[in-house]
Amino acid sequence: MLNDLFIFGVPGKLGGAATKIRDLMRMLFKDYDLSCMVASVGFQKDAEVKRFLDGLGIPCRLRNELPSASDGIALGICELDFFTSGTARRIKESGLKLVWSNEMMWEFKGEAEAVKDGLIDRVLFLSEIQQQAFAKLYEGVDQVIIRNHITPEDFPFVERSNPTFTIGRLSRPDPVKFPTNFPVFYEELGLDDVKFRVQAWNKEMEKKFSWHRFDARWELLPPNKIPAAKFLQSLDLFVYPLGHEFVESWGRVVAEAMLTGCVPIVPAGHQFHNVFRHGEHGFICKTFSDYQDAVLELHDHASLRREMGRKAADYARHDLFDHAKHKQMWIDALTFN
Amino acid sequence: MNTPPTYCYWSVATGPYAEFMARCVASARAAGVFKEFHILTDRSIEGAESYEAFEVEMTDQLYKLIYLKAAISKLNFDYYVWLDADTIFRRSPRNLLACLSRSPIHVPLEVNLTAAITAAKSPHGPVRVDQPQEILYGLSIRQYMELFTSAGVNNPVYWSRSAFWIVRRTAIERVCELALRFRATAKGRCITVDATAGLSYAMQMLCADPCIHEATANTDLWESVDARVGKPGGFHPCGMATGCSAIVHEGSGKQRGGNEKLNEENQHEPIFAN
Repeated sequence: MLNDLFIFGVPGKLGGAATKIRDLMRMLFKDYDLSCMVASVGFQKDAEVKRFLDGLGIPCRLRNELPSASDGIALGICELDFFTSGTARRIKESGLKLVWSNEMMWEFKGEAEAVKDGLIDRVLFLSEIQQQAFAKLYEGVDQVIIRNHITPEDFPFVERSNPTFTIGRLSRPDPVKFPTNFPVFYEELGLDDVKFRVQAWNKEMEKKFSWHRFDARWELLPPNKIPAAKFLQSLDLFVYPLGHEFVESWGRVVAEAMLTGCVPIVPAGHQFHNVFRHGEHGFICKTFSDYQDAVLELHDHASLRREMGRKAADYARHDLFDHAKHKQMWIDALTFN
Repeated sequence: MNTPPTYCYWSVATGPYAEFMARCVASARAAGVFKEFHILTDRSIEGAESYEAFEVEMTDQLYKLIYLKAAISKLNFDYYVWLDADTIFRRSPRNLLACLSRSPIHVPLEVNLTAAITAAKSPHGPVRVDQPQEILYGLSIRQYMELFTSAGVNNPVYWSRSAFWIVRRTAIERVCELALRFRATAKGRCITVDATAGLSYAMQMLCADPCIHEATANTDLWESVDARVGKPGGFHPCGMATGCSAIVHEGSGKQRGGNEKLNEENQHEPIFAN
């Protein structure tokens, strides 16, 4: 008989946590009696969520439908109201072991109190930098680092043949993820004939950069306009400057870009050295001048770009995302003796 | 067909500064500058649109931001060019807005502090920081740089003044927000910085390549020959004073023989020496 695993979170195609839940469910649904626990009926009725869960035979239940006296595992992933809604406490009262993965670099409301009250049996981190950020809060709590997993087949490699050299980025439409100078940053890279593609863009982003005149080189797409893999396949370079108040806990989208053969050019001070080797699969940059050097070098040398893109894809496919190894790590992280 | 962007010059000049401003406008007209000047002042200045200056917060030069947002932005131009009153025109500037590149703001970046510190480490370096303590806002240069980097400046950190700067109308809100946020960040560390530092921060946050905004990259446009910057036999920021700039900031200290009141404004300038 399979163990019960209740995953608190919504699988989706946008954002690091939602895509992680999606991948995790696909990876574990044969090894556990899996349930997807959601906060509202709206999520249960969401056509995309329903189609995905039905395809795997995973029931979608409301949080308050948690069975009592259960001896399984509850895994909470990046649920903003996980603690304030009383969900964590109800899980403990039901007898489940609670494993929690915050996914962000900041503490959620009620998280500290939950730790203090002993509600969390094990905490998961994506990286050392994230673990470090929570070192004090989780002192004495059992903890495991599990880096993100992506199903490589979801992001097929494509040899680039863009008629116009194209750089861009993909993320959720969160203004904090974009540097203050974002449009100037792209435009001053010094590329003459170029296309800038950004997904996702929304009203908030429009407001943040209302001071800039976006010309015909720019394509600003709303969330989910193009499937992530297809969008990334359309880029020659994934140029990813980030806002100074934001720290990537892992940077899933960078690995997704690599899988498609897109060369990543990313900022220093995050976790990207755990995702690829600087100078071999992409570039980690400290200043604008570093970005510019990397972009122009790759723009001017198509063979170097192709070689680096191929190496990035191979490294991600064969070294970063070893399915069997990763699955075992998750099973270990969800096992209590 | 796209119409070229419009701009005007503006300033705030009361009391003795109004005389300087009148001289500035006259030099512009004599040099063939026909752009509009809009001056907040306490008297009529020939050749300029004069507006009565209101009593606003003068501390830490915040009036520059207040007037920009509340008054000047109401004028129908695409860009606004601030001039210190102690400025003269040698000739009409050519393509003034080119110095902005893709950025919505241009403040001439005068000293690359990161490079100066690096050079200071070398025994053969061209520049040494003579007095690294208590130089800028009571901070050493290193502390000053740290303030900028902790507030998000990833590029080399620059020192600049606010004797001449340009802002795009659509960016006024953002520039003021950044300048005031920087001031609040500094205050959180018990450091008081003025609007000049705030504008310097906004400049460095809203550009990508700071080299484009270095004063030396635009020497045909603006330069400062302010005698109070750089000590005798000392380092002049970014090789200033080329003698070929259209707009020249002379510095009121030079004009007024070291008037103490005017010099108070520049007490935060860095001191470099060979």
